[in-house]
Amino acid sequence: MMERGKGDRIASASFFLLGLPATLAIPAIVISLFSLAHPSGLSLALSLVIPSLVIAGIALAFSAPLGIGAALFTSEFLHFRQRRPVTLLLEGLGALPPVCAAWIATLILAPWWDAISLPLFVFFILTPAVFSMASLATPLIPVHLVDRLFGPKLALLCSVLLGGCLLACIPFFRGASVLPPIHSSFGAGIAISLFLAPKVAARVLFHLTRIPDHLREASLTCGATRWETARRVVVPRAILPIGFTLLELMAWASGETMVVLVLCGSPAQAPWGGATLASALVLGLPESIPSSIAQGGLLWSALALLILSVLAQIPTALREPRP
Amino acid sequence: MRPHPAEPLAVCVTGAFTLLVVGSLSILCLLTFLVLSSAWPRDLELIEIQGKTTCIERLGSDAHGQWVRKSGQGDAWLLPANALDNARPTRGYSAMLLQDGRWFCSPNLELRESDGGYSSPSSRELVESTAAFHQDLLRLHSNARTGDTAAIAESRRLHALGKLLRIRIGNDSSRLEIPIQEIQSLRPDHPSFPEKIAILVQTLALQFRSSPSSFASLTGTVLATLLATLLASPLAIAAAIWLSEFSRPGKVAWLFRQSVQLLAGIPPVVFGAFGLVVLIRGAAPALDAPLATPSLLWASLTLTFLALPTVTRQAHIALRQVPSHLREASLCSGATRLQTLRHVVLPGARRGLWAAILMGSVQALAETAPLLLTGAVQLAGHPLLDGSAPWVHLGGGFEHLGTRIYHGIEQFPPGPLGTGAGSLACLVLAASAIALRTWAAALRHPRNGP
Amino acid sequence: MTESPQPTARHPYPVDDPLIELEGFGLSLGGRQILSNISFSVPKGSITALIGPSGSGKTALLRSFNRMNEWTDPVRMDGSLKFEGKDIHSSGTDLLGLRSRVGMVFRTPNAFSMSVLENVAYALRVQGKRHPEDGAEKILRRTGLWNLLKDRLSDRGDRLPSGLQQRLCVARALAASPALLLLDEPCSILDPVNTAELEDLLLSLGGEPTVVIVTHNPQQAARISQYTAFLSQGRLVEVGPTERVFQRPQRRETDDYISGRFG
Repeated sequence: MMERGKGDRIASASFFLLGLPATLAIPAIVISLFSLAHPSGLSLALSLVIPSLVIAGIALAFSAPLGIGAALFTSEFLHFRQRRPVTLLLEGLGALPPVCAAWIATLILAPWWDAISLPLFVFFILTPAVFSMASLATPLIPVHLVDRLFGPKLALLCSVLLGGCLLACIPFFRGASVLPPIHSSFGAGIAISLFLAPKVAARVLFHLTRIPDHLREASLTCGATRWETARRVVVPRAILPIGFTLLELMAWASGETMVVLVLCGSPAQAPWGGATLASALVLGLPESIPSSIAQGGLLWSALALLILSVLAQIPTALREPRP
Repeated sequence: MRPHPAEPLAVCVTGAFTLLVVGSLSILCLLTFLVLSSAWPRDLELIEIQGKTTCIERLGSDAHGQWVRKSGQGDAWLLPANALDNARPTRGYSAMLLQDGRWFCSPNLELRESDGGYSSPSSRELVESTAAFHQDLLRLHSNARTGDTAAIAESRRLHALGKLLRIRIGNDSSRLEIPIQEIQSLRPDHPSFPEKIAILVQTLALQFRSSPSSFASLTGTVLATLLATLLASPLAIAAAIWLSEFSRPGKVAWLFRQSVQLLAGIPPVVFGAFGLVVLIRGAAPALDAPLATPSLLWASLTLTFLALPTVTRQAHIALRQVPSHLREASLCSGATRLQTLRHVVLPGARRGLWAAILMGSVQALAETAPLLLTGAVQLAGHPLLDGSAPWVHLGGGFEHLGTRIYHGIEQFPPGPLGTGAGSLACLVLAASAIALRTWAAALRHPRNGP
Repeated sequence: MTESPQPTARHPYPVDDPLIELEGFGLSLGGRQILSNISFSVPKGSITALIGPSGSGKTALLRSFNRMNEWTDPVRMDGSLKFEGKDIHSSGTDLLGLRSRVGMVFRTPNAFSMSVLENVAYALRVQGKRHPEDGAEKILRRTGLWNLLKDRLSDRGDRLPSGLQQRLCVARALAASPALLLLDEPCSILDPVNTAELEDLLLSLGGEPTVVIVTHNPQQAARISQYTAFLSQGRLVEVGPTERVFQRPQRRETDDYISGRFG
């Protein structure tokens, strides 16, 4: 056993005394919420869980492909000298305050919503749909003929994208309301992905850069392209932590407040939006009377958010080595 | 030679990267552009109103009418769509509001020629400024009507100078004549480029200073963030040091680390609820009575709790990155743990610790939701900083850039104008958060490192 | 057999059928000159060892043979480096084709996190060969790993013990029947038993493919190689048949290094 000086013991004790209560005091939220909560709020909170998760899901549906793609591009394709600035940029962009995203959505996205909604539709809904249908239909089509005519899947992708862009140029389609208006859960999801996508990218990039470089080198020396390396070596290795990260971010986004409050959170925006856990909390709690039934009921929403985020983090916590 | 397979993955990934980076950057650029363009002095336009040639600048039009501006000071006028049209009478005149010398416009407020009343005012200061503006209007109006010779002479003189803007008001044919005196003094016919830059800077400064809560909200933001960072950092770093240096690896340390990790992923609004219910309504009444209301103090404390897990986690990561063989080497040369900490561990983790502190402050800066619950208000009514002791007034509501932007969205429907000041606030908040976070990232990823 | 060319200053030993020819080859990585004026040839079917103190540029030289240097650093090159008679640093080189012809094994065992069989079949799969599993089985038999691994083919490759894993990496590199196998200090983290097993594996290949091995252990070079090149501070000090280099070194530096007097 190593000799420990007197100063060590004092330091240890003081750090323990300072640090431990400081951080462990926060879980007191849970306890206080439990003690204050009133059972009548439970049904409200439960009814709000689904809208919250829907918005988070829409946000993630947009930001996950964008973020994962950008992270893969940065770690696997970008020249190593450009990697650091791009990493800094992605991490920085993820810090865009939610309220600014809400402002940008109402000021910049809303006037052009009709114009951008069709490309969004094409990119995120039409293209995957066509792809999945094409892959389903592959056994029926003489593949080599298609390949010779159009090249591989790349050509298919390009033609779909080009077609979408062309469609978007036709005024008739530009006004077509293929998507819900911006003041809706859908619009809120888009606005949230303004800062969620760089966040996803930065966190995924972290997992990708932890994969040792010599694995990539080994794959390259086997004659694989960078993309084959990414697809067969890098992605399979990182897929689990990436999935868990997405889960965590989904729980985190379900508690997103400002964007939801502005775009879809108030009951007035009922047909396309509606209250979520966070918006109910922010709109109701300040008006509620201290230690009243209303306050206790609303606290169930906070508790639900808390439980959601804790549940979402359990897989990550379980991956950590335990004593 | 084997052809390089062009993979769909390659296309998708490149596309995603381009879309994300280019999209985010272009949106930020667009925001900057909007801020600058709303303040950018334009060349004046000569228009003819009721047979008179008048100098105004057109800013664009929207559903509420035609936007004009008479000076670079951001005085915005909304003329009804047919105000410049002689043939048709104007109805439902949507008006301008005066706020601390700044003209705002709101379609919710309706001025009627009979009583000059207004409808649906949305907040106290709007009412006050509407009243002030209304008095202004009435004075001019009555002067013109009663045939006050001095007023008529003055208006004729201004007409001759081309500095009077005549608009119709209400349903009747009475006309309102408003002098546009600033035009001559502020902007000669066509300012040169350096002059335009100077006017732009002036305008931006005015936009930030003149509107009631810009300066106050900036002070509130800085104070809240600073307080939260100052409170959270020592505590969190102490906890991280305990965790990585002094705790025995075991169940307690594991539990502690996991709970920090869990807390770092909790949505900020939960911390807001915690701040309001537990701190303000639970703990505060136990203390001094006047403190038990939402205020800067409690908001900062809430932000402290918000930043605490993040800083602890990042600081712990930074400390763990100091290789353990360095610690062992130091301990083997007879140093105590405290000496090892001071001379080996802390210097090795310095950059990471600073990054952790910065990340905590970014979180305190960027999150608005907890503040809505813990004391950020639209108009505080008292300054946070002044000359009287104790100089910093932490009690009572305070203004914050985030809530200012939020209330800005709520109040003013987005149009070509009225959004300049809000965009500026948004740009300031976003730029500072992004810059600080990028700085933290730069500290976390050293140039010659992993 | 035709008359062998006479040894010259550039080609200090006669080479009939060179796989790699270097002529005044120089290399700078990230603006730093790593190698300069290196000329020698690697005969087809031989095992050539690159030895030298650390920092002498042997790994950089090895990585020039399949152009892996440019993956990490900006590269500038002088002179020529010919592989199978073609200068591989010319702009028209098919990099994928080159790397399909050159296998490589790294310092640390780095099996992918897939099954053992998939690991070996990887090169065949990415090169678009047919029946990668059959090829994998063939190469496992050839390298003598089949008996050891046949019951563990579906285990994850990166969970094997390091000695076995490194041999698996050799098998993976050999799977696509490359013309050249590069080994970058393959035994640096292995114990003597595993090292001996790996050396036996290399010797059992019998010149197919040609092997270039970087090692910091001169005894290993003496045990397995037919030719040895000694590098120091980015220069080629001496190159020749291993026996001659070890028994009658022509340069003082070589002698010092081999006999362990070198700093």
